[in-house]
Amino acid sequence: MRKITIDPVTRIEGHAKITIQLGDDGRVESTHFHVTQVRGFEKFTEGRPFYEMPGITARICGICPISHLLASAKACDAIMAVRIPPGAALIREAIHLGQLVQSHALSFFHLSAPDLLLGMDSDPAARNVLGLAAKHPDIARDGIALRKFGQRVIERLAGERIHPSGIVPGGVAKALDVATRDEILKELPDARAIAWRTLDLFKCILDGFPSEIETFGKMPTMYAGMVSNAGDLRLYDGRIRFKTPSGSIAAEFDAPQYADYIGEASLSDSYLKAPYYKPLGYPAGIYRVGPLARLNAADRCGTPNADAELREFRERFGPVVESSFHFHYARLIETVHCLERLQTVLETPAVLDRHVRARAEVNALEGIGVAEAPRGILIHHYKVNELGAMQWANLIIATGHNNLAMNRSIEQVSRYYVKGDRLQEGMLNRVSAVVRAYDPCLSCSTHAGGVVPLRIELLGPGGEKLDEVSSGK
Amino acid sequence: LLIIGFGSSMRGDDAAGPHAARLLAKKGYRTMDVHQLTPELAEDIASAREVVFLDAHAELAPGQIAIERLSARPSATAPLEHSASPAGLLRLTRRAYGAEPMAWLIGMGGSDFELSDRLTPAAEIAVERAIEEIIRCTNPGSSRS
Repeated sequence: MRKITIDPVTRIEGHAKITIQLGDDGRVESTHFHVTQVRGFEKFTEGRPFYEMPGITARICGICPISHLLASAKACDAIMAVRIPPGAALIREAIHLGQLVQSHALSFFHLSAPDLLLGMDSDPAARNVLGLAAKHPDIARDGIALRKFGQRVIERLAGERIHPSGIVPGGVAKALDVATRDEILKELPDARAIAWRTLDLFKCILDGFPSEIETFGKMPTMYAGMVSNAGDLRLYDGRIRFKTPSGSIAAEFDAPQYADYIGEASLSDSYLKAPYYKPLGYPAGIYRVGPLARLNAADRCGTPNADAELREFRERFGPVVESSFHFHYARLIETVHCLERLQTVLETPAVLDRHVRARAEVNALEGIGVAEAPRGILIHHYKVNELGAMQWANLIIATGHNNLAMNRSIEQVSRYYVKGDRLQEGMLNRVSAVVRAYDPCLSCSTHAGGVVPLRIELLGPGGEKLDEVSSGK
Repeated sequence: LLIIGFGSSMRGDDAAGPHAARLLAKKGYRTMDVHQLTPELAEDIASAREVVFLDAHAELAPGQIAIERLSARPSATAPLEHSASPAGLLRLTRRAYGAEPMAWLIGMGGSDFELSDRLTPAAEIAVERAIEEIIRCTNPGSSRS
């Protein structure tokens, strides 16, 4: 038996390593995805006033702080037992859509486009956003512009691009004025044009990845995502729907019932827990979240152009799309949806309401808040005492939901590409690329921070190191 | 001239860059103060003829400043991902926009980078020196090297 370790995985957010166990015949026997750092926000927030939680937990991540702000603020809304003003809900949703656009742009253009447009086997020294800018400067400019648009939405509506202060328990800190609303609406057509152009580009290059489509986590799992009562995709608020691998609805429930359906297994070799669908148990209850899972879980997007794209997606790959390679495709469809939905939200008159915050003391000792983070369902669950001091917190992070699926995807890719006992860079990159398809945010999921380099070690039957490949350090 | 101050506002003297940028904004300079350098800044950099990056420096003597001329040419910088170095951003600007503004990095020596929302007196001195240097260099008749 030999073991390969990829440590750290590159072009993802956070620190992780992958080990690949080879048999004596050089074939892959097993693989493991390990998240190697822990931060422990649940523990060190004990005793803090509940209303500080949005500001504290937003610091978990610099990529998707809005998701934490929203889930946390919603948990606080529940503790105050308030229904936030309609204008506040619209502003929160607009901020959230801005975040989804910037995060999806980061994932596609900055992290995965080098693989997709320069090639999985291209020179690793140039397989990054700088290499992308050298070969496709127009695409690099589109990526910069789209991400900047999303960040500007956040900055205008919530105060700051990173770790904004505008989302608070009970609503938002500031009402939206007409001039700011109109500035965003004026910039929307350019952002939409980039999203459509990019989706068209991706559809054109897709046929160049037949092996990756077949081997990047193409497997039956359940899918979870938020939907409206009518079954439309919902990103800010909705019910949680689980679909079976064949596409039937297994369960649909309100956020406070999450513990009836989602269990969390602790793994001995990772700080990342492994949530599972409770009725099926661990590990049979494997499911996926995030863009691909959301599109599989929902009946439709609910906006015209995204729905047209979703129909084409399903015509091309079936009513339930299994391959995790298609997270990229789904992410781009969602980007179109987010921009369409943003226009609808901003054109709703109540978005300009002046009353945007409900105020109350502690009226409930427990609160649960859920939002669809760019990477999937994010759950914040708090318990407080009568004074509002935090007694207990549980955060179930989008990337965690995908832990079992990422592990299985890594195994599938490795079994297909890894042969023998000498490592090939293209193999290393594909194993990393399948992780990147999920766009994991390990800083969030384990509450660990930093950029993600990657190392692969090949260990012999006795554990001796036979080979090693590193990148990203 | 575009001035970009970067650093965390929650890590003591690391906030020297954004703090200096905000003070320069009050004097009429075109500035940006950001938590970290991200690829989106390339678009702003492409629109400038000259760029000055302001950053706290843990290895400089507290209160001291160091000025470094930057180039978009070296290839030693790490690839851009979620955050970038000034040189990496210049490279991205050159490749994506074909623009290559003259650029400098002013490092400001600090001593305390632990959790705090204020600068140490030494970092305040470094900020003052950086500002004085920028004002001196941007005054008519001054020369830059």
